[in-house]
Amino acid sequence: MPSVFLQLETNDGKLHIVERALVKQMGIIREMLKLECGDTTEVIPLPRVDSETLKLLLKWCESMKSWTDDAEVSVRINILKRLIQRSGGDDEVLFQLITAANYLQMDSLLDAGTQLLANIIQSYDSAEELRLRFSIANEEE
Amino acid sequence: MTSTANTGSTAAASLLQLNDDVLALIVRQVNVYQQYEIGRMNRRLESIVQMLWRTRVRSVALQDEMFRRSGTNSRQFLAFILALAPYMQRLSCQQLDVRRLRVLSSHTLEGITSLEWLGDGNRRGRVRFVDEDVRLLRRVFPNLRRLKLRSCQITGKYLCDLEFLNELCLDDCQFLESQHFRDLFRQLRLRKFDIMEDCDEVNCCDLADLHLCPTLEHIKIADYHLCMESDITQQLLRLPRLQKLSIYSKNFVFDVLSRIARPSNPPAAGRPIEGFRFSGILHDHERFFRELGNLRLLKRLELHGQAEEEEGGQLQCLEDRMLRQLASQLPELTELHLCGYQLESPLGLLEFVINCRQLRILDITRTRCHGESFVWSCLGILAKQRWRSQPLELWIRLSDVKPEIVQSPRCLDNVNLIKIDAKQIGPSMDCFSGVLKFSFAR
Repeated sequence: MPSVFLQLETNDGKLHIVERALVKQMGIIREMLKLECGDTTEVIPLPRVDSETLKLLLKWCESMKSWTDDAEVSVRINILKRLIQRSGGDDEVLFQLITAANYLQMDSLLDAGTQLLANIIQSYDSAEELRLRFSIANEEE
Repeated sequence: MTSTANTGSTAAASLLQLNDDVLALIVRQVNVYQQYEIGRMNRRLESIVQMLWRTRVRSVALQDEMFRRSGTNSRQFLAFILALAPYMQRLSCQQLDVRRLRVLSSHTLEGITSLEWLGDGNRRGRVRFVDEDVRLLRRVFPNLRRLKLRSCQITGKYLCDLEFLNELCLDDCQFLESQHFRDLFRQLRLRKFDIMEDCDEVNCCDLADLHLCPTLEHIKIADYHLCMESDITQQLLRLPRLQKLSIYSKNFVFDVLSRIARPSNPPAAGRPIEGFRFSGILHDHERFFRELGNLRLLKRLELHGQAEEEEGGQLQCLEDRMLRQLASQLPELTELHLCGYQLESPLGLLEFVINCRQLRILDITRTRCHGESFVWSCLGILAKQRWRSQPLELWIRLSDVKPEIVQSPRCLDNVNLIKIDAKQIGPSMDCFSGVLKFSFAR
């Protein structure tokens, strides 16, 4: 009988024991479990995700569990914003979450994250303001 | 959210730390002008934008708001359009300042085949789209096939110069002059001509020369276009390629229907009308059905009733007698859509099932016809029709027939006779109220 918990190792060497039901939202792990016939006691490495980011991802998964149908993107964006605000609220956190969501194939988080960034971009009136906000170097520099 | 945590030793977070796939997901969600601005910031972003544009900007909609916020000047606007031009095929300009269009005057955008200019009806003076702007369209978009102009101050003078045009739609253009339409119909090989929208406004044009355009397949006009100086109904019915004729009528529905269903001089070479659709409130169904009965070769009939607000939102009622009479007159029907009515009893509708041997689809969406008793009566009739080779499809969405009937044993046992569909919404739910649409056999 498959174990209720899985072991995930982040790129900073830390081991995280998480509920199997929670990480099924991570497409890459879901596929891995299918290949392993659902039962693995081995540690699953996540070389592109650090500890702090994984904790946030798990909080996201926990929030999504309570939605039986797929939540609307506006609802997901609000959940994501609260998550980021509680973690210090800077762009780096958002970028790490989006990068991790892309790697782990977490579509609902990826959609919410990219939409949130698009909304931020659209709120700016000029390219120069965008460049400053998101530290896009001028190629002449 | 803030832009960076000031830790001193960590670099500021940059958008460029995201990979190309993720950046593409973000960029495709901003408007096309912002995509252009983002692409100019950095070579990597430029290649991402180009990749998106190669597949995703065949249809582009531009609004004034996109450019006003960033204070885009003429030079910047021109550079943006020229960058986008190789990818665009269909362009919609929604309340764009016409002076931006004029900036393109000495350029040619050959890839664009469809243009919508949806003007702002409140603009005045130099900022309205005028005849000279039609000449500009000819220069700038030499391969234009489809044109829609709304709220423009044109007379129609230069429309005939758009030599490759085959679809033309004029909406709320209040300065059109009939004298220019002769050349328009004579010179252009139009397939679709639409002058119907907002024709409650002063969109009057004498279309006496409409018949000079033998390539017309789909015409949308208003009732007064049929008989401005002379009755053009017969000429329209003689058009050799006509497939669809839509006529908006607020107050003369019966008159329009009788002109076409009962032409005084039936065209010898006219093609039979095989489809008819109408949506709206009628105050004399008996007369309406009497005229409909003249369309003897009708195969598809689609009527959408609307609730009468004065009657507290009640559905319009159809009497059995009228329906039975109509059923006997239209034996060729293959589809009947009778949506949003209150029926006196199931008997009128059942007459269609009895008389129309080719009937495949019976759509009673939003109609009240005494619930399950209609279905069982229908089944009883179908069971006796040994010549039927396929089941009758019955669409019951939002009617007084409960959707659970689909799972009833009696229905499941008789799927070879009747196939009940509780989900189909029926064709063209967006049809305008007051429009009579005729479809001709090909």
